[in-house]
Parts: sequence; C-alpha cells; structure tokens
Amino acid sequence: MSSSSSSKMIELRSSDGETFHVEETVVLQSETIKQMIDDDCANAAIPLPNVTSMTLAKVIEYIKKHAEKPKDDDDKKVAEEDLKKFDAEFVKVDQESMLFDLVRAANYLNIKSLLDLTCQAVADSIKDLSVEEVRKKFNIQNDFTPEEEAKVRKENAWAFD
Amino acid sequence: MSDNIPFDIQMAIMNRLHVKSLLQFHTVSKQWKFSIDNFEFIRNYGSRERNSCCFNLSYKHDNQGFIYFVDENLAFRHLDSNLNIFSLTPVASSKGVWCFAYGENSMLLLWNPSIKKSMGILVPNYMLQPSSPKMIFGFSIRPVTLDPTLVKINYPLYSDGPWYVSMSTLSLRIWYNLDYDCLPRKSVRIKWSGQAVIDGKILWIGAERFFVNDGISYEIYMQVLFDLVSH
Repeated sequence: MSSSSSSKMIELRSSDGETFHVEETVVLQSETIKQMIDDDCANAAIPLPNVTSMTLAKVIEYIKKHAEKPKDDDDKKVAEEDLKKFDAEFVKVDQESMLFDLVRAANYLNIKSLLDLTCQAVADSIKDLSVEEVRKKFNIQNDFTPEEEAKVRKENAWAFD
Repeated sequence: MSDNIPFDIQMAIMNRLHVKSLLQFHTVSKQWKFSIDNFEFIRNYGSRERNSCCFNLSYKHDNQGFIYFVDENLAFRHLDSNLNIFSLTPVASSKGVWCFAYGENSMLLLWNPSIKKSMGILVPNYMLQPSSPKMIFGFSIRPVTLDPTLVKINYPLYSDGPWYVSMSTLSLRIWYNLDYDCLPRKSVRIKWSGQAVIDGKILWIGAERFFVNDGISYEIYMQVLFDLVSH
C-alpha cells in the first residue's frame, strides 16, 4: 500500500476492548461509521460495543479487500474475478455462529454489500433444512398449536413433496 | 449464540430463499407466516426479476388453459397453477405478476406465479357502463413503489362518445376516475387492446379518423399513454 500513506487512520474499538487502526477511506464503507465521522464523533477511538474483536477483524479483512482500486480496465476484470473468489471464500467460515455474527455486524455497521453477501450465505445454508432446524437456528419459539401447524402445512402441502 | 438475528434481517434472508423453501417455512412461527403472507413481502419477492423472460404465451386447448414463460433462448417453461386459465383473458404481465380479466370483465385477477398467490379485484360500476361500451384494461407494476396499478378505459363502441377512465392500485383498493381534461379527445379510439409499458408509461396504439369531402376518410395513428409516475 504505497499510495495510501496520506489517508487518515481511524481507530476502532471492539466490544472486548481491542483496538484496530484502519484507513478512513476503507472504513467509510460502513455507513454507520461514516455517519459518526461526518458528525465529528471520531476524534478518539470509535467504540463498537456490538462487535467482538474476532468479528471485527473479519469485517476489516472484507472492507480492505473491497477498497482495493484496480489501475486500468484490464486490471478491473481480473480484480472483479478475484473479488468474487474472495467473497465465496470469505463466507466459508468454520463456525456457523461466525456467519451469524457477521450478519449482525454488517447490519449494525450498515455495510450493504457485506450484508447481502452474508444473508445469501445464510439463505443457502438453511434452504434444505427442516422447519424444526430453522427454528433452532434462529432461536425461534414455535407458537403454533399442533392443530394450527397441521392446517398451515396442509395449505402448503404441495411444497412438502 | 449470544443474541438473535433481528427480525428484519431474518426477512432479508427469507427473501433470498426459493419459493418452495419459503412455503415450507410458513410453519416456523406465526410471525414468519404472517410475513410470508404479508402483501409487502409478496410484492418484493415477485418483483425480483430472476429469470429474464422474453414474453409469456397462453393458449387454450380443449377445456384447459396453459401458460408458458418463453425466455430469450426460446425455451418454454410451463407455469403450474390452480387457476382455471381457460376462463381468464390475459391483460398484461409486469415484473412477474400477471393480470387477467375474468367473467366478462366483471373482475380483474392478479396472479404472482412465483409464490402461487392470486387475488381478485372487482371492476366498479360494471353494470353502469355507457351504452354499447368498449372496455379496455391496462396493468403495470408501478416503478419505485412496486404497487400493482390497474387502469380501466370505457367509451361507446359505435359512436363518438367521451372516454371514461378509472384507475386503482392494490395498496389503495379503491377506484377513482381521472379528470376529463386529461383524457384523449372523444374521436380518438384505441386500435388494439394490447399494451406496452415503457419508461413508466402504459402505451396503446390509438387512432383518430378524419372525414374529407366525398365521404372519404383517413386515419391517423398515435400513441395513447398513461403515465404511471404522475397519476
């Protein structure tokens, strides 16, 4: 990173007290942080009480990669392919809870492309699950009585083939 | 897991599911069922154009009707439906939602095949049309708000009577009449009921007949348009 030395550094503090230094141009992908900077609230370290250091490190990895600017058109195509590969690898996380943490962080930090990416990854991971598994995954209480559930199932019977 | 995914994000995730998974997940909870059934959700789901569709083909065979999507490679995809398509006259399709006229124009039917939902909307003043009326419908999903919008045009079939135009949207569910001063002259007629939607406007081919001496007449063709954005 040679050309970016002039960029201002922003300090972010995770919920567990770890600090991260990120270039302002990179961190502006987060609408939430952008708003804080615009409102002049970013003179000291920006506290992110909803994001753990582990999640924040991942988010920073993502926004850094997405801040890279290709030099010319040839480079642009290669960079786009590269970014696609990066995105695909990025959501292959070891722990499932990490993906949910990333969804929450993307939502809280308001990074639309990351939210889209992680929501799609969650959708892909639940599409073949049973209703019971989905409830467990999202920690949702089943509030149907058995009779009601049977009725709803019947209405959509064709979907259960 | 420490805390849960906010509900609106759960919905954003559901919005990315295939229809079949979506309908299975009706039974996850009442909140999920309500949201999947919720019209807003239907609208958003239906309006995501995932398959590029060149045109739709509907035909009748014996006592059954069939509908196919035809894509740019001229591949046919059958649309399965509980609707009795035989009894429906297609008006138009827009952003994956279909509009049909039913029962000699007494009702309009909207159908979203991607989620297998349909709903009927009564045509107002059906019994109080001008004598020998010609009735033409227009349909389009409105830009930006994605509200399904219906237009009803009436004028006498055999004489130069004035136009009566009403419109309705699915969110309003009421019909109201357009002012006379924004309607075409009474000598203008729509040549063919097929419509096109371009740039937020519903367009029809219109024509006006002029009479010269000796009983000779000629027609001038024109566009008749309904602006979805300004109305």
